[in-house]
Amino acid sequence: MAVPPYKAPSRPAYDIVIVGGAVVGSSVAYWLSQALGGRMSILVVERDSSYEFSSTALSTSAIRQQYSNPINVKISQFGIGIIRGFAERMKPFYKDEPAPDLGFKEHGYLYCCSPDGVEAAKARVDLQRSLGAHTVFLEPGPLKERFPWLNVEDLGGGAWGSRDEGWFDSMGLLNGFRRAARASGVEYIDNAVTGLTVDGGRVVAAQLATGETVSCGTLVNAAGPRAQQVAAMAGLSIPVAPFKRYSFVFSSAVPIPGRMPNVIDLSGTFVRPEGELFLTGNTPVDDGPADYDDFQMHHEEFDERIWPALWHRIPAFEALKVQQCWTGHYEYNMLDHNGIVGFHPEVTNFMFANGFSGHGLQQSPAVGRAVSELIIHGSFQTLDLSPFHYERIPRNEPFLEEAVI
Amino acid sequence: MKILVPVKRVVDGNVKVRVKADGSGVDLANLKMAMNPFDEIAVEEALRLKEAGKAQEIVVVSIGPAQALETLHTALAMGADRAILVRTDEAVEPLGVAKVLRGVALTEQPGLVILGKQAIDDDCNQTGQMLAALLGWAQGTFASELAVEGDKARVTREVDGGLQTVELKLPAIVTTDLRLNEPRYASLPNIMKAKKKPIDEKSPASYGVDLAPRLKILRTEEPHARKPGVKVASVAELIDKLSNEACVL
Repeated sequence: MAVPPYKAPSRPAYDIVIVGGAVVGSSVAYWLSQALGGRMSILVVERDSSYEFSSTALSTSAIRQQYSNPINVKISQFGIGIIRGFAERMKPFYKDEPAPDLGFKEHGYLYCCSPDGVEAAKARVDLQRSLGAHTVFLEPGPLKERFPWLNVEDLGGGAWGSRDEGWFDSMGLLNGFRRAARASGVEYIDNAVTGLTVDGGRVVAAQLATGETVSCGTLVNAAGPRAQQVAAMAGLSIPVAPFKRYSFVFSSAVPIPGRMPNVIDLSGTFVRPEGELFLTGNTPVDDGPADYDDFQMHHEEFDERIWPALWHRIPAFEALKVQQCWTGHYEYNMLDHNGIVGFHPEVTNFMFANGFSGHGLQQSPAVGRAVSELIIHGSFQTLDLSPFHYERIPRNEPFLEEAVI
Repeated sequence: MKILVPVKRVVDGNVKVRVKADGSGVDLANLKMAMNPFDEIAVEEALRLKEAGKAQEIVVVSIGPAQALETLHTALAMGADRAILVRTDEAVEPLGVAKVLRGVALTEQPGLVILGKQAIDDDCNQTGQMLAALLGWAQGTFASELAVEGDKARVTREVDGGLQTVELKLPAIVTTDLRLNEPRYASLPNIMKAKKKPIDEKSPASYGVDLAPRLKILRTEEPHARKPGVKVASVAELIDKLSNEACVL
């Protein structure tokens, strides 16, 4: 792995130190800086400033409304607004150049549903619709009519998000948040936090890989798949580990006509268009906690599991060729695959923004705002993210999300 | 007529390779491998000749390790009839490969041998020519068009500045250029069927060939990194840089 050129921090003490400068850390930094207008000093420590291994960069970059928990639906609704209005929001920070347009492709998600799962799927659709989402449940007949290339033989139907779902430019979102935060006085350094000093129930200082120590008023853990490493530095523990996800971009001998949505098969395999190509992935057969530096690819995953599933669901995918592939990490919350957001009850200035289990990118706008509210006001001001509180972890009370991919 | 198509297992063209730390070669550990793209074109051309009724059987052959079976499966899934693996775990060089292929050609007696003009891993571009010399057969290299009529093959070749057409008496050797055709994709059901087909396994020794390398690789290096660009403030500065630094004016 290329070691970034380490840079020393400019001050000995900061009001807020954010560990991790990818999309979650940068969203936190953005919302804090906009609310505080330079009244507090903020340091973001990023160990991989080229974002080569960052989950943000390696994400498949999609956003959906189709969740089983109301709070996740609301988080996505806020996220979609940010994505749509991003260029406008970023204008002040891109004076002589065009602000980033996130290239949002609003093709929707199509969750395939087994005959046994129809009732539960319809209940989820009702819930999502009651919150303002545009999900519709399609019986096999209408489903086939709308998506003639789909094999519906073994399906009870499908839940299709006709609006506010699709995919976008993940690095555009990260770059915008980061640029706006820096322009508003946030300091980013290429460095790694290697230790934390806890005194009297507070993190008082962070040690850096270059040997310096910075004091901090609040510490935010936005370390993605390395969240548990940072938690352990403060003597804390969260069940978050890197889980490998293999992404494959392929070409198909036969094209799929029309606006193809992101199709989520019963097998857990997803596939969506990517220009003239297609992007796919699944929950791999070797799923489980991986090493932090393990980005090894398993090509067999495509040949042996993904392709057969794709061919079954979309018979036009009979003849394919993989053009690109990569391995990324989910920051996987092994308790309930939901985020952990909030202060620790005993180390009271240690803030979690972790464990998003593959939703981190799409949830980053709302999570960044929520974290900034907790730091500035001591409570949520807009969306109430208290279901994600840390306390459920030691109590072993999962806050389950059914709709996981 | 029978057509023989040699296929090589190489690192996938989309993969960015890295040179081993000791400079002894390229690090291939856990990289995606695929059929050499020029060989895919060769398989496709053979299939088209068969579909046009100009050939009856297509035999594919690969010289390499057990994993080269995957490459043969791909060729079978595309539509080849039969496959031969000449198994060796040693690194192979064009002359050794050409000698083995000579042995295969003498056994199989094809009317045409269609090869990729080169493999994308070592870019040698030698095997087809060496094979033609060893067999004493006619050769049409860098083919962008191939037509078979009776006992003759007409090959349009991509040469510097244009196209050259040659007529070859069969049996002959043809090597493929990029524009000869666009190879079809192997389908999943055909790949699954191909995996069940028996593949004839041979050794280099069964053709009386010693594959021991004759060449010694002295060093392998990464290409020089491209220098970052610079911004200039004025046209005058641009012209100055173009004349004095880039030396293009």
